[in-house]
Amino acid sequence: MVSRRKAARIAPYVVVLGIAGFLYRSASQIDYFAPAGRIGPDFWPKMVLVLMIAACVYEIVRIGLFSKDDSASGVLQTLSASPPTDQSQPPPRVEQPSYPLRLVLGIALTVLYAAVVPITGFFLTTVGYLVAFMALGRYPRMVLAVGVSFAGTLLLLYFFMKVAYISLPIGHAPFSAVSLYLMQVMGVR
Amino acid sequence: MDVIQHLATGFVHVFQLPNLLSLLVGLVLGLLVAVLPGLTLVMGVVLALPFTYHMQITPAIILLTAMYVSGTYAGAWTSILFRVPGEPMDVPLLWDGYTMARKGGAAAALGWTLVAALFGGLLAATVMVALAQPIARIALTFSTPEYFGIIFFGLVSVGSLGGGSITNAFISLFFGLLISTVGVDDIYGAERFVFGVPLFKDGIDYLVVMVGAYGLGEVFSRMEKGFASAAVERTGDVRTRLPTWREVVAVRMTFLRGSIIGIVVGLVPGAGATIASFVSYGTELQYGRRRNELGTGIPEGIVAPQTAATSSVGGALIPLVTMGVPGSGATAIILGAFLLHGLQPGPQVFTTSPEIIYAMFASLFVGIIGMCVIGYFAAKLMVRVLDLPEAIVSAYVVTCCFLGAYASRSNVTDLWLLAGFGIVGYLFERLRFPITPLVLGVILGPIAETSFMTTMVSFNNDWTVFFTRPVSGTLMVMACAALVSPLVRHRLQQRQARRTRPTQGAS
Repeated sequence: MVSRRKAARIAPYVVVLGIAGFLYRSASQIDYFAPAGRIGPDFWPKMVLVLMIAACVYEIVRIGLFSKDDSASGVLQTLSASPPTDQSQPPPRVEQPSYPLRLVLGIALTVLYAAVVPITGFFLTTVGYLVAFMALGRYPRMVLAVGVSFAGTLLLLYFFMKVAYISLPIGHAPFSAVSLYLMQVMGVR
Repeated sequence: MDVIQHLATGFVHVFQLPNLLSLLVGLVLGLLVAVLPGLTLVMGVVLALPFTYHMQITPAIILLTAMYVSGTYAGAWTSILFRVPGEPMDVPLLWDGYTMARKGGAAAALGWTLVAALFGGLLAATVMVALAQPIARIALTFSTPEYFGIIFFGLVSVGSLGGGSITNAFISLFFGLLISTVGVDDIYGAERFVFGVPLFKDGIDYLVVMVGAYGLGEVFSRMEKGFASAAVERTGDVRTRLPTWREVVAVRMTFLRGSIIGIVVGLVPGAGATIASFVSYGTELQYGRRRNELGTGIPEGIVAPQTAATSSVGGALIPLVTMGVPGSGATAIILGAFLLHGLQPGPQVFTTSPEIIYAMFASLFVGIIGMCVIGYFAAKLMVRVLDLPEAIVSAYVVTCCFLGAYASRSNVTDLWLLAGFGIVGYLFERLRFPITPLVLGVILGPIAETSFMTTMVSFNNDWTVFFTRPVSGTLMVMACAALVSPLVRHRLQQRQARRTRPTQGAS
């Protein structure tokens, strides 16, 4: 019987295995014409997928049947496992608190940025995003956060549009009016 | 003679105003990135990349290289003074650097770090200049099987030598290789893994993967931890006291050992400054004259990791410029910058664009000296960035990620991919899948596939050609050795542990 702890360790490999299986099926359906005897465009991804499946199966079997500890480690892990004795007592390991809700909100905010930026334009979206992000990060001085967000976004807008000549999204009306006004002030055509 | 002439021209290029300015900006940014909590060296180089899109190639490469080299130095300050390693490579500095500082020798510890970075960096830069052209000349004779062998060796080393689980590293690498196949294939024009999404037809830009997985992923991870940086514990004034000539001569072998280890480790694809720093400290622990005193705050414990970390930069740049294979995460991004500007590093570049390559080489010499000068005078000022609130720094990191992803193709839909790869990066970090193999897979995947497919076409699908040609065969054997060695080492460690356990039980 696989313990709960082991199941949690196996889960990512099962997910990757599933994705690899799906992609292998998809690779088998690649439409192409190749001269006889020549390998096609599906060969390389299929080869990589087979290796990926093999790695996942190996890890699932290893954890499920044999594992008590972690797998073979790289050079770094081996070396850092044996620091000098005595000494400076490297930083003590403190259990860090976790804030999953903040993470979910942060991801949602980022996805929202990608969705909204074509509509509201770079300037307004970025200022809003920066303020919201700082609030989410529990930065206490919100007036300063708003000021820093405005100033920083203006600076980035100026650098990219005026110096680097990269056209940033200006958005749709009525929001585009803000972008166009700022561009006019900065002398961007 | 030819090399010296090119290098002299390179120095002339470096001292032109735009290049010198880029160098200065790169050095300062690299130092700041290494000091700032929540920003790693690789992440810093990634974030600087979009600002170089519209620059000329020479200042762009100079800026990123300067960031790379100075980023291997400034993390030592926070390790020594505040017990906060700026980068993983600075962890060994806690053992002797921080101890020396606690005993009241903070200024001396900073002085040893500076001299170590200067010596290691300059020696590695000299070796790089001396070796680059001969290696490139040899590489010119290579055909597609040899190229595949080099890339195969590079990819396998990345998987085997990094920290953590090898299987996870390889799964990460395979993901990267698969991402690089998305879109219309070059040889047959067939659509692969497009799933009817127009965005995927043009393929997935490696920049989006890099910026998303490294930058955004890291910010998400830190956000989950509430942006809680380690508590800063000051040990003394930020001053630098340089060691005397006699003190330096007394530890000359440590300087030399550390530098050689750094160059050699840097040469191996996938093994960057962090591994160099740990290996060098480990070697000192085994062979050093004062190995029994290591960890008590002696100069050897500072010199060994710092010389290796900085000299690994020169070593890592050799495979990048001579064969187009990046030796570390940061060089992978510098490779990306070369490609962005339409220049493929490799042996041909020494004949087609020597001025760019030698300007980069010369900038490394000037940069190392400049970095030490800035470090000597401005360390006190720079460590004050530690006081910056992490929520503000991270908010701007994310904004730079957005700009980096958007500006490469001026495509707003790339922001969706960025968010996606940010989540992937976070999950990878959470589940302990390393990100560097993923990024290298995306960058080197197309080259690996093209050289593999071309070889198969040229040699009638005879895969044994990779093993029967002397150079590619040697590289394949080396790759197999790199693959097997961690497993063998692990078994040996297990056996040793089993042997010691009964002994302990008996006592």
